[in-house]
Amino acid sequence: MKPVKEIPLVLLTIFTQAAIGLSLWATFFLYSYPDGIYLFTPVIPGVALVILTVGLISSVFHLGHPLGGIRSMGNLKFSWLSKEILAFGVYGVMLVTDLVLQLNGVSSLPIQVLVCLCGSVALYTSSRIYRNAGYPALNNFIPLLSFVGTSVLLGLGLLNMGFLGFFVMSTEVSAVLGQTLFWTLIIFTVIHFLIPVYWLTGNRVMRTTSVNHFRSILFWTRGLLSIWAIGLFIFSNQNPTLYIFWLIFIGEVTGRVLFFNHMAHASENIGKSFV
Amino acid sequence: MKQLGFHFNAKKCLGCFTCAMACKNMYHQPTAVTWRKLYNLDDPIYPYAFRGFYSLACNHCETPACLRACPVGAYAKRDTDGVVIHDQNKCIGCGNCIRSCPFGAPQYNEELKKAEKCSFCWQRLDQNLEPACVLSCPVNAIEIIDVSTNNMEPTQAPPGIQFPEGFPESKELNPSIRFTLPKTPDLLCSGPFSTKIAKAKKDNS
Amino acid sequence: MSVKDGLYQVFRNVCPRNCYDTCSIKTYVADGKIQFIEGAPESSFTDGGLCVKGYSYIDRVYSKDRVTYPMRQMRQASGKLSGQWERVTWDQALTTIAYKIHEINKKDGSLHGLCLAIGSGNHGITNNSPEGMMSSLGYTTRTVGTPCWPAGIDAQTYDFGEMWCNDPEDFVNSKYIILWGVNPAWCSVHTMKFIYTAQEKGAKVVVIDPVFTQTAAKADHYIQIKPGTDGLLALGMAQFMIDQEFIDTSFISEHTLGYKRFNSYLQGTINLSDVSKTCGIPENEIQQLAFEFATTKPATIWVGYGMQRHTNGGANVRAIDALGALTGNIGKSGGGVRYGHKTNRIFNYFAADMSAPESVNTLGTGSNRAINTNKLAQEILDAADPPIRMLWNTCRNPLSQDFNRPLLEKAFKKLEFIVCVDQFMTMTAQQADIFLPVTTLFEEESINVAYWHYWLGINEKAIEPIGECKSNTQIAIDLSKKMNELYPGSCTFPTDLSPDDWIEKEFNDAVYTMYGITSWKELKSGSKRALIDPVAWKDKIFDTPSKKYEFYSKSAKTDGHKALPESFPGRDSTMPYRVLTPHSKFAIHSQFQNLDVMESFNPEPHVSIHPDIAAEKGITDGDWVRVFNTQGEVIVKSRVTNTVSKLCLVLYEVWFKNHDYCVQNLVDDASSDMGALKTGSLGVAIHDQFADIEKVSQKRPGFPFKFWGQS
Repeated sequence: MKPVKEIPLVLLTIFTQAAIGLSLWATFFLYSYPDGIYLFTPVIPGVALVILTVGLISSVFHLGHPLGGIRSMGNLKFSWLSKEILAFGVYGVMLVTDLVLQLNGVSSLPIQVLVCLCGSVALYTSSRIYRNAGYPALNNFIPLLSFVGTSVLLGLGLLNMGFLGFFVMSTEVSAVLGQTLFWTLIIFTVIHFLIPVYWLTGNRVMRTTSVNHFRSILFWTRGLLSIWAIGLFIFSNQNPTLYIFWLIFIGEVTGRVLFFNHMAHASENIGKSFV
Repeated sequence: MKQLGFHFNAKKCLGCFTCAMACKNMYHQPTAVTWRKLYNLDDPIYPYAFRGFYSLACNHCETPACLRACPVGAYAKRDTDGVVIHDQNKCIGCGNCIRSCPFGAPQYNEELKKAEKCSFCWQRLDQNLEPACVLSCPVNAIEIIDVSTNNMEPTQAPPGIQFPEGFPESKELNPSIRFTLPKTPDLLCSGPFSTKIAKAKKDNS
Repeated sequence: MSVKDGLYQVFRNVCPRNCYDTCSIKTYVADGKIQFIEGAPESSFTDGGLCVKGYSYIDRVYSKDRVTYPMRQMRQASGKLSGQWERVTWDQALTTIAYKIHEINKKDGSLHGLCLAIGSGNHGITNNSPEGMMSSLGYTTRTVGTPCWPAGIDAQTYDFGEMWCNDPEDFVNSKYIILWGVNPAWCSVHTMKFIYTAQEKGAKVVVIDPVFTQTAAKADHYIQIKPGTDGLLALGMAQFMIDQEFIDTSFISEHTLGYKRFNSYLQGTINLSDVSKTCGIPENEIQQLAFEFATTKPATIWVGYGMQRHTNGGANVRAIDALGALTGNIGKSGGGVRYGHKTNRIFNYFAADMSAPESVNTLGTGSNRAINTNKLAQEILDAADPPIRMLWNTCRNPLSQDFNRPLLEKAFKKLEFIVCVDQFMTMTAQQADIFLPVTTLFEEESINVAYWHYWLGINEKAIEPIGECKSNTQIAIDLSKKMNELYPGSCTFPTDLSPDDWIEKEFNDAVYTMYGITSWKELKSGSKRALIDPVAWKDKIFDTPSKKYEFYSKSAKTDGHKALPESFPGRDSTMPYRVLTPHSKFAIHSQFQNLDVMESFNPEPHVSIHPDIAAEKGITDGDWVRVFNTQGEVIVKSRVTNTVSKLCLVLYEVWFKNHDYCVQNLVDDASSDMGALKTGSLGVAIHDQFADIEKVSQKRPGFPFKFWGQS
């Protein structure tokens, strides 16, 4: 796989996961702190919808024949890719529903929970695509972990941006959100460094993947970006600035490029010992 | 149910690349695409470098990863013989099959912007002709077997190991391939040569 | 690709490469293009399959690199080739050539200044036409001999009276097979199935080779011998067999000559512990090998061409022949000492056999000038009165394949005019004045037989020539027309024969009888095997003067050799390591490796070195190294491997179009001991070459991190 070819997939996964994260966190905070947030509420499904659409549109460019994307739900019985398209479709429809309702002044909790549920299912289908026999290093919980990480971090980050004043938080909520982001960032930074260590305990293909990671500039860049963001958090009295959001965003993109380009494929190892 | 597969005999294989080239002779793939590939065996598997090989194409699995991964249903498994066929008219070039197959069978054709893989020469099979690679091998190191009738148990050796060293052990796919392992020559004479024994042997013969 | 639905026209072809296997091919054509080719099933030798080279033919015929029109390279005022090529018409090209031939004739009063360099690039029988073309112009200079197998031919001639061996399909009857310095797993893949059959029936296969070859990997036993000591090993075995009475006394007494002298030489001179030391093989292994070979019947030896490419190569082969005779394995099914044969070379050779024009004959300038083909460089430089002014090069790529390349480059500079007939811009073609594009086997008619198996096949024209390509015969016809147009009566090469006529004229009753056919057209339904016994020397009447197998050969003595198959040491080492330049599995000489598809299988050259040499020289696998001797150097990547011995550096002799790689920089033109008797020139000691090796650049410890990872 040529690196550049996977850029559409990087954008697809990052953007869709950010949208899902936004839906999840927004729902969580809105109902946990109903008084701490002042919000033009349709902005949440609106922004999520825009991001989702950008992700989905960019994804067709990884197809040799982008117009054929229209047929990509052709194997719902088996293909996680077909299921993913369906799941994102449903998630998108739910977002539209939520958006329309909110524009009409109706904020329905069941609908919003349904949005979150559909988003989570879509995220899961996405992670299943990469859980395949071709990549022993990924044929486990790691894609899901990685995708959840992106979703959680970018969702929080987006929520934090305030959307040009459509979204105002009380100091209390802002502090909780900042704290959550801070600790989530720490957790996923640790995970970032632990995953290749975990791979070292696996078979030869997993070990190769691990070595690929440790030898990759992208791996260390992503790690440093995360540490940088954590550092800024600490020195800015845990005030999640826009600057930090961009650090996290670039970190996630870097991590995703890493994900697509540094995985050793089982077939690369044929003829060599797999133990 | 009938399930055709290859029996690859590494003991016989000369690593001569004839099979891989015979495939190209038949289907004219672009230079970078090879349906059948030769893999050199590393030291722990065969102790002499570039002298032991696996010649592999599509293994026409019982549960093909490609068929399950393909979002447009471009892959089909034939009921008659279990051969896994890729229909390029349906393929949209998403690359999901390429990522999914642990054996590296599907490959990306940059010219067509589509995937493709070994077809078991099903068009030839249907006319009672051997696949190009099988016909080409100068030492019959590649044979067609029906793994369902189990003249070769997956674990039986020899012949017919399903997962030799150096081959991805993807049990859930159940690849329709059996191997015979390569051998190395022995020492001609390990101890001191005994004229007496030799003479006796000669007289007895 | 369906075959039965009548989509294809099927043609018969035969691979005309200089190869043991000479495969019968079925070519499937549709829309005037070759769609695919297959091995012909009629030949039990080819048996439906070709080899990696054969199956790459489509890529060769339709290669984007193929030159399909005549070209001319301009010379600078200094006479140096400019590197500037321009497309010309056939008429322009042939006119230029005709002018030059005429000019030489006028200047020198003869055509000795015109030299034909023809190699083994196309063994089709009608491809002898360049020889005929030269003869039809007058008396020219000819390269005589072959680098391939001459020392062994002479050795077998002294021993048996003629080089002849059992049909390779008869390997199946052997119980013991020694593959001595031969690598059929790469160089004769179709013979391997017969060896495997023998093995499956219980035969033991032993490989003796300095390199752990692919064949060695398939053998029951492998013996690593020091290069050039094969004859001594055979004599050690012989001495031990006689000593232990493992020999066939009745065969020896009835069918051989000079046994007593041979025995007294062995008992007086050969000492097993010395043999063991010199050959680098433990004594017990030699004893076991001799015992097993002598007591397992029938046993056979296949003598490779590599081991006679030494200064003692002919003697080596004679010593090995003796093992066959001592054990009575000659003239037996499953036995014999196999080297090659020419029993089927009974064609008319009409295309080669032309007479000089009357104008030349009446002048009585006499005969062709012969030069040693194996010393092409030196011969060109030495030729005088007249010097060689013009070279007609066809079926040959000397700047890639001929010995002492630095000297050959010098020799080429001395030439005034070079015509190169080829399909690609080879190393030689790049040094030509005129490039003439020649057809592949699919675009011309011919006939082929092998020097190994016994099959005869017809080569039909399956497709029209690509571009403006012409066959060697058509080029000769067109040149003849042009010569006679400009200078009437200057060329006798026939111009009015049809392609069928050219085939017809090669056949005679002897050929028809040998193959049991009444017309060559019968070959269009498949190749035919010669109706001769698969066992050579079955009647045990040999072609030697004594009609016996000659351990003691007076003819050898007359020719200045030892009468007995005595062993003598090979060439002295002048550098620390021996250079071996054997064949690659991806090429035959400079053909095939240049194709894109072959390059994708085998992308770059390498030198194989033993891990101990690597450690000593600080070389790791993949390092760039310089292999050098007093003659020249090759800079190439290293492959550290336990398949080569500590004494040798192995570089495969091939032409990579994208690499400046030529093993002939290291190989000089030292002669082997025999070859002049049957081929006119001594062979070449290709494997008696020496060099040193060093790492070229201190490889900087690369940046330890990658950006994109694997891809």
